[in-house]
Amino acid sequence: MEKIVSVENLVKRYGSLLALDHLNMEIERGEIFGLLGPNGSGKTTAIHCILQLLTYDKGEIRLFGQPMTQTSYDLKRRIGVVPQNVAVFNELTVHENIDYFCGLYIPESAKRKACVADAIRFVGLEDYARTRPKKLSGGLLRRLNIACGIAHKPELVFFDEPTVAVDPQSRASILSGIQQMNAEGSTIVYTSHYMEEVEEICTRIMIMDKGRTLACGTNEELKRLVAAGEKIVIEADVPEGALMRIQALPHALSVGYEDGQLSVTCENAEHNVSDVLEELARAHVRAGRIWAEPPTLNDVFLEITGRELRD
Amino acid sequence: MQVFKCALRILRGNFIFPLIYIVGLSFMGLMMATSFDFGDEPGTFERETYDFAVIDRDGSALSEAVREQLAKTGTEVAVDDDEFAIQDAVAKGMTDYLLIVPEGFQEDFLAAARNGEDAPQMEVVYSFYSMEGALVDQTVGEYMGAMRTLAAVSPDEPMDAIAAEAARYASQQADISLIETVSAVSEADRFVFFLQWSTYTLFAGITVCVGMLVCAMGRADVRRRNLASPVSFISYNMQLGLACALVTLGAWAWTFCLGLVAFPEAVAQISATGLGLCALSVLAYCLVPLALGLLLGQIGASDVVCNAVGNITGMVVSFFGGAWISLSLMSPEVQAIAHWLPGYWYTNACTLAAHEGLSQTQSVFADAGVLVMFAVAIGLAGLLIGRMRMQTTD
Repeated sequence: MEKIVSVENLVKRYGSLLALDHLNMEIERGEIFGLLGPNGSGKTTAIHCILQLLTYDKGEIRLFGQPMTQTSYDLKRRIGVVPQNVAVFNELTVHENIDYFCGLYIPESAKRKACVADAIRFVGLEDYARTRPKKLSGGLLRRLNIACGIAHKPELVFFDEPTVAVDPQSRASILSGIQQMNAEGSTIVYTSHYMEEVEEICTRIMIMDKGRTLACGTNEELKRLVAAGEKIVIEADVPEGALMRIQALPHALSVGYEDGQLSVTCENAEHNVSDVLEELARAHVRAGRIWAEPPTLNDVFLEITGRELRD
Repeated sequence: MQVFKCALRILRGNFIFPLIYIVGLSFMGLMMATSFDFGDEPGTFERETYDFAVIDRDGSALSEAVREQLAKTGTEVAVDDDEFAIQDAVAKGMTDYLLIVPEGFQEDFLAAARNGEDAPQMEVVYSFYSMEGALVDQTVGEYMGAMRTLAAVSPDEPMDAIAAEAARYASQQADISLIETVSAVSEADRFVFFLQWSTYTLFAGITVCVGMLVCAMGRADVRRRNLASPVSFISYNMQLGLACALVTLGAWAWTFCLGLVAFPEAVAQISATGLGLCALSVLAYCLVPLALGLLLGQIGASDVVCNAVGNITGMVVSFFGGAWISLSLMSPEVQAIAHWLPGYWYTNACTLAAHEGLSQTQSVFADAGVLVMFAVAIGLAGLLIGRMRMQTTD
């Protein structure tokens, strides 16, 4: 597969602060690449360096197989950017905003007209084409922000937390739109704090912290990297003795009991459910509903990046 | 030309700024320049009239003579000889002057005049708010003085004769004629005054419009989006600069042309060279607020800050340029400070260009050069701040 983005040993310092510490990243054509990390982990800095919005101290960035520089206008023409904050002009209407940003990439007015119309349709802002951004709701603004970044039909699009502060309906619409763009041939780089979103749409995920890559792989590959396996939940009246015996099971990582619900987090193993049920049977406990939850990306993220609070 | 077109659309979206600052304020300047007048209108002289009342308790020839004398220039109103009626008449403004001639006044008056004693006084009532009353009392006093003198020098003359002679003296007055003066203020002066006033209009208008434009285009998120696009940094800045230059040229053309249209005779009074030099001076001055607007944009100032800076700086510059009070009336210290601000050089250039024309071309060019230097200095400061800001963001 063709490498669309290739970052090697990228180092970026803000004074004494090391924002990117020999970061490596490779993204192939057709991927939806998720970039995960806590606040201040260097996600946005990495994207800004790739887009040449920031200078960097060391490293090499190649896009579409060619070195990316501030004057790589041919490469920039193939890229779309949807920034974290809504970056539009309040004085311009929805149509004028999309037309302006699209015009930076496509000077021909006839071609641009069709692209702008497509973008408006794509984000569902047909009824607001003549409206100014100040009159749009948060969700509509986000959709306008996206339309401004993708109207020129880029091959590679960077989405920097595009679903912050939007309602579930708008979020679902944005995510399905991104998947549709990907299906139409665009490669997507997607950063977010919402694990379920990344889990839902990304084909490959990179977790980074303190400017370094901590893990990279598919959703399943990442889950296999961590010790946490399934979480078994059983509705039952469990005596203290049985709880202690379950805690002592060889694959049990943690046991909790609250409101008549026993929850056991286990390592990846084959007989976790039967082992727990066996212990309950020994204690003559009659189990109610039983279910098992596989580990989520959130579990993986917290295990890799730690649970301490960040700024 | 996407950036240029976008900048014009932003300007259209904020049309209220150029409308108020450039159009509105220039009309205000126009009104001030038009009213810049020393009263050369030809007029007519007309004596002020007044209402008077005489309460005659004497019923003598003297009291009748005074009444007749007052009736020559005033209108008599009837007031009853009653304490309340008298108070009422004055308080309600029914009469400007009320004279009470006491009983036996003529006899006492003639006796005092003939014996060289102080003349008895009549009771007079008039409002303190009425200037007419005071003036009428003065003329009555003069008339009584004339009668006293005549009575003293001609003790055998009857009262009627004395009154007639006094009336003859009183009727003598200085000839009044109207002299039409030629106004010291020419149309060219009005035109220059309008340009002087425009120090504020142009400074505030251009600073606010350019500052607002550069700020809107330079907002961090939008700027990043622009920088990520294939439009080069140079092309982007040139297009933005072109939009700012258009604003400046628009303000310059509007102000100058409005002055020419409003004061057409000035075009005849000022030579073509003089007008050209005036236009050049105004254009050179416009570069200063343009540079300040760009500087504000580089700082990332908000609309409110742009408005505040444009207004306050505009007022200061126009004050020290002599738009409000002539610099010649100010202290030497103020005049010295004025040299450090562009308004002084602009006013100087405009005045020289309009009144001296070709003979002062070099001086006007020198003044315009100083204005350009101001603009360059501010512009360089803006570039420096912009570069520092970019590095800080980086």
